[in-house]
Amino acid sequence: MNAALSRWRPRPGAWDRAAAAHLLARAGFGGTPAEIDAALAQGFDASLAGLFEERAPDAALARGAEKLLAGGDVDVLAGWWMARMLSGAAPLRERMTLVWHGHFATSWDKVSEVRMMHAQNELFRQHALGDFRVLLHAVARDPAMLRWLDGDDNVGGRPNENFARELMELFALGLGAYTESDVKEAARALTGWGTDGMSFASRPRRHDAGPKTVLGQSGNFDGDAVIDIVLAQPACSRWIARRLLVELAMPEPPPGAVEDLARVLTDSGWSLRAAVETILASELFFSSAARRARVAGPVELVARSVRQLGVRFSPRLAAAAAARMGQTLFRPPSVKGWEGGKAWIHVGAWIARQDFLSSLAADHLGRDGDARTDLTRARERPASNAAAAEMALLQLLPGLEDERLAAIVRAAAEKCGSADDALRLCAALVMTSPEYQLV
Amino acid sequence: MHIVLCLLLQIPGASPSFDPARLIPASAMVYVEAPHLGEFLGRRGDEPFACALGASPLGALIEEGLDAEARKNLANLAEILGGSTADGLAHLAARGAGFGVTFRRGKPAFVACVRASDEAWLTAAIDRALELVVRESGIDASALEPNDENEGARTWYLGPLALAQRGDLLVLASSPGWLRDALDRDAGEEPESLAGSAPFVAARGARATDALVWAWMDVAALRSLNPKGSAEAQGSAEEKAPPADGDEAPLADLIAMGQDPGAHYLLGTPLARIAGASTWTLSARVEGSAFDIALRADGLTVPANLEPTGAPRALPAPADPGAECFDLVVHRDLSAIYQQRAELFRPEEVPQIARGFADLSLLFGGVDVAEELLPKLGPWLRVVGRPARFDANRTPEIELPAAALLVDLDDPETTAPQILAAFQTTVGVLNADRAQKRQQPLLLSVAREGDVEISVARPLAPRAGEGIDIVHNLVPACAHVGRTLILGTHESLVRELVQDLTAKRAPSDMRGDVRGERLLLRGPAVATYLVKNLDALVANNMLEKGHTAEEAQARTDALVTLTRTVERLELTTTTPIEHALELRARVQLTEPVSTRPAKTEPR
Repeated sequence: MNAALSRWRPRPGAWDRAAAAHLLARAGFGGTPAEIDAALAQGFDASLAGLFEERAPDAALARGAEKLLAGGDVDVLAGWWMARMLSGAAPLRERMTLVWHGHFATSWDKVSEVRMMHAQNELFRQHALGDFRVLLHAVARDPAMLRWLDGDDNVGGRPNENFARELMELFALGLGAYTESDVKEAARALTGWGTDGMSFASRPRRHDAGPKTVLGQSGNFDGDAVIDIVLAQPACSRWIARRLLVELAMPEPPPGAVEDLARVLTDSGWSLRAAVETILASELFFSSAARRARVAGPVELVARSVRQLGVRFSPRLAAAAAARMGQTLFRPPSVKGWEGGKAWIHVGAWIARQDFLSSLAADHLGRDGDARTDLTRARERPASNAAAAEMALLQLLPGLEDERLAAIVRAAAEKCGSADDALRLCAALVMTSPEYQLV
Repeated sequence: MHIVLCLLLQIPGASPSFDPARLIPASAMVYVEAPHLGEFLGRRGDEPFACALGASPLGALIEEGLDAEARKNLANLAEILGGSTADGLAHLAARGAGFGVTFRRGKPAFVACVRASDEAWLTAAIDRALELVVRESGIDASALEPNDENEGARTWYLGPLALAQRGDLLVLASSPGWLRDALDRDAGEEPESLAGSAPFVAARGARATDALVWAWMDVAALRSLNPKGSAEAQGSAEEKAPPADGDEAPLADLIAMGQDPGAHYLLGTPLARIAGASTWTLSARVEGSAFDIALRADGLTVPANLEPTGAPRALPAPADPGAECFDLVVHRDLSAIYQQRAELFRPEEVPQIARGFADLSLLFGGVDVAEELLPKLGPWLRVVGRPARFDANRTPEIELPAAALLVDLDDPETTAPQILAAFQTTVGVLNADRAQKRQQPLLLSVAREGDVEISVARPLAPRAGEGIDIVHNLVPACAHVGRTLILGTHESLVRELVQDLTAKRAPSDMRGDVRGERLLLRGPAVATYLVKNLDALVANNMLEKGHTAEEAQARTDALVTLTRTVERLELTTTTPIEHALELRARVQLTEPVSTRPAKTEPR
């Protein structure tokens, strides 16, 4: 095993607030102050294991949302998913569901059926930490994907190459690992797979049953067979390993780590859980090079900020805020998904981030008359303006080493009329800082 | 305790000698008074409306919706008023209350006055208020000693507010000068008050004798504050540009509405042009278990043909009014609005309207809709909302009531086939759009109800195991019976209406008990749909508001209960006299069982 992926053994003091916050931010949507306290108290191993233990989703929301989806409004679906992310019931599973939504990017703009998008989302959720082979086979039969990539038009004698091409280029292998001929032949193998209403349908009469040669193998392949051939390519495990490292660890993972994680995947029978656990427990994950190394995507940013403040916030408005920042759930810009990285912080998106985060702190923090926990109630209310500044810095950006930002926050707090006002202002300053945009 | 409360509630009746308008300057543009509010609050235990309201969850709903600051303010108010807000307000407004406001250089200037039940109570309330200010602000109590003592009035100047107490009279004003003037008027030393203004006196002369609250607005004066508003509201041809900087001026939105085609088609021309009136009066009163609020606009100019006049024909009143979720009767002479479009709307709207009708002509096989079809539609329209009857296994997961539009046709032999053909063309266009989205088409067919043919567009039956989407509420249908065209969202309702019409072949007055335009909503019928969609409403509340499941459930339950409490909500517009419009909202609450008078058993 490459040293980078060897298991992290926290030295005394190394499992600190910053490390716990890093784990909860990357493996979910950020920890509330109480969740970070709990993770610190129970230690690293228990915290890591806890990520794989899930609470049941809210039954009332599940029951009602199922009916609401009958209205055909994709924004309801986005709000429902955001509610699951905000709930913290299964943070890692929801985080991985978001990863697969970006990986197998499918847009409602073409699918036009909210129930299909919902079913695909549940499919990602179900297999988020399962066997990647099962996930890939299921995605190939998913009605939303078939509609998105024209499965119904893929018939014998007149193959449509869309799914076969993306299967190789984006979903499983990456450019350079296949030829144009492989795409055409794989498309022939996939003929006959389409939709019947909201369901998958295999129509043998539309299938091209002739011999094909795909990635060096020949035979009368069907869709399942060609997917198995793709999965057997060494490039496949490397492609998926790299994707997981980019999403969870760092934008440019070292090549050795990719190779090692690819081996973890294949050795574990394509267990995504094993691969994810390896990353989250690795020296690489907790290295200084990995901390705050990614630009937080809009959905991550919105969910993290709402959870950290603990304020009551409409999930639909939260999803809409992420959309204004450039990430509209269920509507990725293309089959390539969201570009991510620096593309998240172009000028328009940056303004949208600043608007949302400053208004979240100013208008919601401590404004709600109910008993819901928020930053001010999770612990002692700040007794002074100075205490408010320290609370904002510690809770929202644990481990911050930028004394310049800390000084600005402390100076701003001094000018406020009350500790509550100081907390709101300091929270806004911290959350709109460049450092907070990183995760 | 009970005796003490009863004693407290023995409040003197309104004093005929006190007219709050006498303390308000003649320049006031808005005036509000509460002639009988104190009495009503004082005897609220005997008032059916107050009892019904108290038994409803409205109070709890409002309280839940308040933020911490609002709750604190309410608690402070209760403390100032002596513990119970309602009892305190009864004391405070026992002998009348008035409020007048005008605008000076864009800023409001106001005077408010109340004559309380007695001087001692008022003094105690003011002392409690000042104690609260001392406690909350931390300022020294000596700073709140009266600043002035003149003509028997204790006077305070608190920042932008001036406050005075003289006996049982309390006056609050936006400046010391206005306060002094009000006190002088009370002493009979300043004759020029609103009570001496002839237009005001005339308007107040028509006030309902039992009004709890009555308001008067000098709309012409308010409009004059908006430099472009006056001409716009009147719809004069020489000035039709939208207000460049009038957005913040009073009535800016209402003035703009006067030239908005959407407002004319939706609300009707008289209501769309309500900002062009010279005065408005508003009166709120309680009658048994009903609350009634009426806004009357006088001096309103409405072009010919656009006032709700004429005798509607052949549109039946519902056979079973109790089945209705809602019932809307409106007067819209679409042809007259179109013909007068150049006078009614802003110039830039006119070509868009023409283009819209040209596009519509495509659905009508090239018929000029504006010139050939609209003149043949009767001006009275009725929209009926009733439960839809769904076929087995086709009840949508979100179930909605059906609605149908009934129109009187002037030349049914020609017009009805044109409209039926347009209906079928529209379904075809819809199907083309659905096909692009790979959605299943609506199947167009002709059904029969007795001798009447009904064009129906039905969605295909959902596959076994698949959800039944909201679109299954839509089984659009179109038919005509004699002169009446029926266009409905669901076939079952169109069939019912065909039965209604064929059973009453003789033309009937569609208005029945309706005078003018009317929207009637029945709370219990609406509540039925809330209950059917309860799960969806709870989830929607969670997604929209961020509430927990328990909170969302509690709010939704309260909404259902509240809706059931409203036996009927009626909105009407009538023309009481020429150049006047009255918009009335009447909420009839379901009386709680305990307050209903016991029925006398027949011997």
